[in-house]
Amino acid sequence: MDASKANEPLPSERSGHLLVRVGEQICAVPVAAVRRVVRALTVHPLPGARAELAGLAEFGGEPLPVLDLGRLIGAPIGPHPLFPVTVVVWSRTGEGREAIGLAADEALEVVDLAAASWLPAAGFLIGEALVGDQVVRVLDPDQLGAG
Amino acid sequence: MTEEGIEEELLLNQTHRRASSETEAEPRAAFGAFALLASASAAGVVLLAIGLAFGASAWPLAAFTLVAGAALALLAGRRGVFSRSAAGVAGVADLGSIPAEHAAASAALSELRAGDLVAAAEARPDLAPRVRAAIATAADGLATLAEQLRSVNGETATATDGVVRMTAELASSSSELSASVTEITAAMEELARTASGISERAITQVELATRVEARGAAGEDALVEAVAGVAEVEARIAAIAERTDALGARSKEIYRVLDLIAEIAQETHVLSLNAAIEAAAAGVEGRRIAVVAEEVRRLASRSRDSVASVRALLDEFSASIRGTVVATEEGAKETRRVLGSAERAAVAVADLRAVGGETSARAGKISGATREQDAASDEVVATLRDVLYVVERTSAALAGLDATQRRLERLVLGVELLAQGLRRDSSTSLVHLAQGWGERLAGPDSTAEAYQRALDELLVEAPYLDDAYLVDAKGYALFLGSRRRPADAPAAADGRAAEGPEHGDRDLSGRPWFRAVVARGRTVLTAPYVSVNGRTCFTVAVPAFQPTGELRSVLGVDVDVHNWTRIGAPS
Repeated sequence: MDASKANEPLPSERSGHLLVRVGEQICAVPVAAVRRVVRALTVHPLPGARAELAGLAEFGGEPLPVLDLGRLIGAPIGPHPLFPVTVVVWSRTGEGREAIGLAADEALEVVDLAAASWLPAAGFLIGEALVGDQVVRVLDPDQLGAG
Repeated sequence: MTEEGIEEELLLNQTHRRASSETEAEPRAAFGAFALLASASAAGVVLLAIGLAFGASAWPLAAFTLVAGAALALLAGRRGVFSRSAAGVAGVADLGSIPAEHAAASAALSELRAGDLVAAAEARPDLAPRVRAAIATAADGLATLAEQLRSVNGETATATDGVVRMTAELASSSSELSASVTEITAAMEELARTASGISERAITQVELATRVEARGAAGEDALVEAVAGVAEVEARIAAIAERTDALGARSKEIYRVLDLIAEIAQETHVLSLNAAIEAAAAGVEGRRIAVVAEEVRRLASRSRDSVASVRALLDEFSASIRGTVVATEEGAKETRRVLGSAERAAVAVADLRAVGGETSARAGKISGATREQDAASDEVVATLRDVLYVVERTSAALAGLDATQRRLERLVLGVELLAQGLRRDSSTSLVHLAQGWGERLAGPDSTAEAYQRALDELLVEAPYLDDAYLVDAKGYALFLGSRRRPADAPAAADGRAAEGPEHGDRDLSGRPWFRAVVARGRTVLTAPYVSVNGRTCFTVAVPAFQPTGELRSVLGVDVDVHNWTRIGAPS
């Protein structure tokens, strides 16, 4: 991935994003919404929960709902992850914000993405951007809590 | 001798018989001296004949006969006692000018010279007593000598016959022995050749066994070295396996270290990302931290890449180690198999070496034994050849002895005929017996059956006779008798069975004995001859005369030369 090119300051609005890999898909999470990247947390499944909800984990002494990002975006399963991670993001709600865990296969790097080049998308996806020749799907963390 | 030669071989003292046809007249004294000289000559001839029969040379007999004949001729010539005459003995009585006493003496002397000792000793009244006594003494002496001669001759013939049989058996045995010795010699020579072949093969076997033993020893040493080498290889393979196991263990430690490094790199990576996130949250102030965080992230990434490279190399190394372990285990297994085979081969080679040694020893013994057997066989063959030489010499000597015995048989037969040439008043005198048979058959005319019966009885009375036949004055056989073909003979002219070898030809006028009887007018004894049936025999022929003096018939009897010893013997 050509990170230097992605990091070039653009005249339009640019913001930092954390690239994570899930299966064969790469997603971008706005750095501003990222609270922490940690090694994959131990998840306790919740009976009757929807499929994207992997379960509850413990983070900072508090329960943390963890979403299966691969299931969430429908990414095909890739190679077995050596160091899976859990990306803890803030998701704004009507009253405030809540922490949500995203289970990913690997945290890659932090890049700047220009919003003007994004392709339109819907739901928790803000759009799709090109990082080098790789299509990156940009997530909207605020939509995760609502979903 | 054939019948044609009998004329010249007629015995019966032909010289005397020829002399008997001469008439002589001399004074009584001269006649007495001549009678004594003739008697002494006859006795000397008999004695020398006996000596000849027992192996003495023939020349003394011939010389004595010549000297005696010359002396008799000289005495006769000087005294004018004997003069030749064409008349026979019967004519002596017709000489009316000669005194009766001289005629009687001449007749007696003629009978004596003809060998008829019986007729010579007949009583003649005209003779002076001392002359009659002298003639009787001479005839008696000659008869005694002839009888003794026959007796000794018979013993000689018996002994000769025994020697002949023994010689024949010995010759047969010698022939069989010669064949056996020849066969045994051939077998021994074959045995010697076989032994020689076995010895040569045994020697070759000894050489081969010795080479096998030597090569077995070398092979055993090589196998011992090979076993030691394989054992060393096995030990080294075991050391390699041990070291390989150690390398495997080290590889696992390296993997754990790599895992630790990779984890640290990942932690560093995550830490750099969190730093970058915090820097972004800090805004402009956080830019310098963001740069540092990026550098840390790159270091962490390089560390992860290095760990991956090292892990890949270590994977290859581990695969090589696993291959080495597998190969080492296979090598150890193969080495153990080879070691087992080498140890078994060493045992087999040791056994082979021992067998080779034993074979060599046994082959050596066989070779020695066969060489000894070969030498012994050669000695036996040499001995057998000596034996064969002796046997062949014995056979040759027996062949010579056989010829000598045949000669002796002829001599014995000659002596017998010489003795039989003298008619003696004895049952052993064939001429005397034949004259008796002749007088019996010359009796008054009888029937044909009576003549034939008389002949048959004659054959029964004298079993040593083969044939008997009565012929007329012309030599035609009137009656024949034979003991050899009694049943199947053809009928004779008179209706009786004709028997004997001459039955097919009844005209016997050409036979020498018949011609001799006609010529001599008295009994004749032939020399041995081969008859028409192939047998060797001799014949006594006795004439019978008509009252007018003409020949009436002749009785002939044949005696096989092998049967003469039975003359006079109890039947």
